[in-house]
Amino acid sequence: MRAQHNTQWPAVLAQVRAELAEMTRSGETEVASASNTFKSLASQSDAILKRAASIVACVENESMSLVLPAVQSLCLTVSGFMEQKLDAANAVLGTLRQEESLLNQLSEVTQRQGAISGHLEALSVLTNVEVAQLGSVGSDFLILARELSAFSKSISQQTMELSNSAEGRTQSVEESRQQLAATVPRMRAELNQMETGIGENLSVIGGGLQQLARIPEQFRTYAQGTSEQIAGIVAAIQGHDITRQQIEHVQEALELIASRTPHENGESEAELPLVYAGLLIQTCQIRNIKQTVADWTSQVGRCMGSIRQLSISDLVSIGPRVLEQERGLTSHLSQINSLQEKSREYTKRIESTLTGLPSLRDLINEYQERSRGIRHRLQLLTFNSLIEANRLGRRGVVVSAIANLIKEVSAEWTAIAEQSKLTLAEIMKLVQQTGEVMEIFSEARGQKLREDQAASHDALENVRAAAAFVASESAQMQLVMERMQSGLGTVGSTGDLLLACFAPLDAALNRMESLLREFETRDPEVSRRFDAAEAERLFSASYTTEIERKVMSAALHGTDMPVLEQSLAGNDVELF
Amino acid sequence: MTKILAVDDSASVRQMVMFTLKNAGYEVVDAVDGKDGLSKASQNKFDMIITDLNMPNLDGIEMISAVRKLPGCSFIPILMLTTESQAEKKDAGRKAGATGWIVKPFNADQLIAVIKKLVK
Repeated sequence: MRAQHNTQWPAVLAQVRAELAEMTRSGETEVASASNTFKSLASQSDAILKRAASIVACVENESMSLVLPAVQSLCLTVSGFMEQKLDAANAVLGTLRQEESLLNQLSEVTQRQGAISGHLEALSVLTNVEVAQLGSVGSDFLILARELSAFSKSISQQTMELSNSAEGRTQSVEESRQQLAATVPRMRAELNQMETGIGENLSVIGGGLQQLARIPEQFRTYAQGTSEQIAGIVAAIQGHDITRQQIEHVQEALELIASRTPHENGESEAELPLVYAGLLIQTCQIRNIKQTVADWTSQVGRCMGSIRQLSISDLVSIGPRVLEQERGLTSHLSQINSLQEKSREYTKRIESTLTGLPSLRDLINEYQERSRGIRHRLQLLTFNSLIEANRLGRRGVVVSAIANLIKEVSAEWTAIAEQSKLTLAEIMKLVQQTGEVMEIFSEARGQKLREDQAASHDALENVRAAAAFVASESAQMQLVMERMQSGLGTVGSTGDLLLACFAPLDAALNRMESLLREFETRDPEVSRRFDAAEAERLFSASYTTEIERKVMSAALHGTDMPVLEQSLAGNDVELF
Repeated sequence: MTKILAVDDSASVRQMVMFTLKNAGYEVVDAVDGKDGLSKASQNKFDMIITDLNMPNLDGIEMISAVRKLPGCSFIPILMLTTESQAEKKDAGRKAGATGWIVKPFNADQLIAVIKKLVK
């Protein structure tokens, strides 16, 4: 049974054409809107990327890598410096103990000297008595008596001076030793605490700097991700042009089909199979267009949503974290200043304590000089008194005894002088040791420390400046990100809005499929009666895309429909 | 600054070409069809032309042939940007004077790379 024409077919086809035309117009409007949304999104992404790039440039600045080594060097220098000072302070403690011991020896010397003074006074009295007994014969001996008395007084005076100086010095040394003995362990404990604190901070700031160092990679990942999504949108929006062309070709084909549709006045129905073939092709084209539209609209929506969701939270949080760590480290490093200040204080104390030592040396030196003079005088007295005793003969027995006693005193004095000479030698050694120790406390020794402090200060300034810059840029990025997320509330629905524009495709498809069923109902054999080659020739003339040709071929030969693959990558350029 | 003429009857394609090229730092002028493109090419100096094939008034192949006859335009790079992929069309484009062929949709990075290669 042959298919009979339906006068409504052209009307249906015209309606489908009109629907497609209207859909094309609204689609253009919606795509233009989506393009504007996209350009705004891309512009904000670009603003974020530019700030991120400036952060990367800052982080990649070479000076950032100098911070940890500078601070580590400073800590080593401080440790070494303070250790030296503390060891020197221990050495000073040893010096003070030795000095105490020497002062005790001096105390013995002064005691013995005091005893000699007493002896000489006694001898003076004895001599006076003997002079009285000897009468005019002993007049020369009177001079000896006076000399012994004056000599005794002189020794007594000198002994008192030496004894007072030694006692004063002993007190001073005792005080200093006690204070130093208390200070050194405290300083050592503070140094340990400072080292521990700085060590902990260094590891934290090292972690922060490592995070900063990862920023370039994170930035590249972010930039790469953004770039890919933007490329996806650029490719997807071009899909609209493909769809537009396909729809135009369908419209042209429907017009051609309408013109080939037989009318009531009995024109040949020979073209009905060709008309059916045309309808079949256009129905498949519309199905393919529907799929194509779904593909590129969802790609637009997906890529826009992805851009919006690309996270810069890691980038944004790093600057403030590093600032915080830098503050902690700077605070710990300020303890170095405090330690230095304390170290200067006890350095002054040590200096003032130790400067007393040369004074003691000078005093003993002077004593030695006077002591030699006393020894000579004693020897002379001995000699004179022996001569006088000899002159007096039997009457000079007592004088002779006195002379011998003076001789003993002279020998005792010589022994004391020897002892004090040894003490002086020990003190000279201490003075020399003191000189070496004091060199450690000198300002010159602190030069490396000051240099390292300056280097650390500069390096930390760089970190501070960089972290502050990063924090500031990150805050700006965050603002742009928030604007992007809030101002583009429709971004997520862009794909759906685009897809909704092409909803009339469903109605068009339904009408086409209905027509096809009508044909097939009226003439079940119609699908076997059309000339595929003729249909191909007629309907492919306007095709501009490979997919249209493939769809037509599949429709005419009953094979599987091809699928247009939209890809984020887009197509390459072929150069001739 | 490198100046490029983008010719396409589709507004969305012109927008995407201009977005891509401007972001890469190029100056871009657009034309709505072959006739508009030819007019602009004759009035301005361009370093490159990117053109669609199927356009009303004057299609891409005819436009390229005409542009090649303009003074100073014999050697400027011209890329076809089209949905067509058939060998015969490519051959026709090459004979008319096209330098290269891109099937839509184009890859932005690839396009920029080729422009950098062709325009020194």
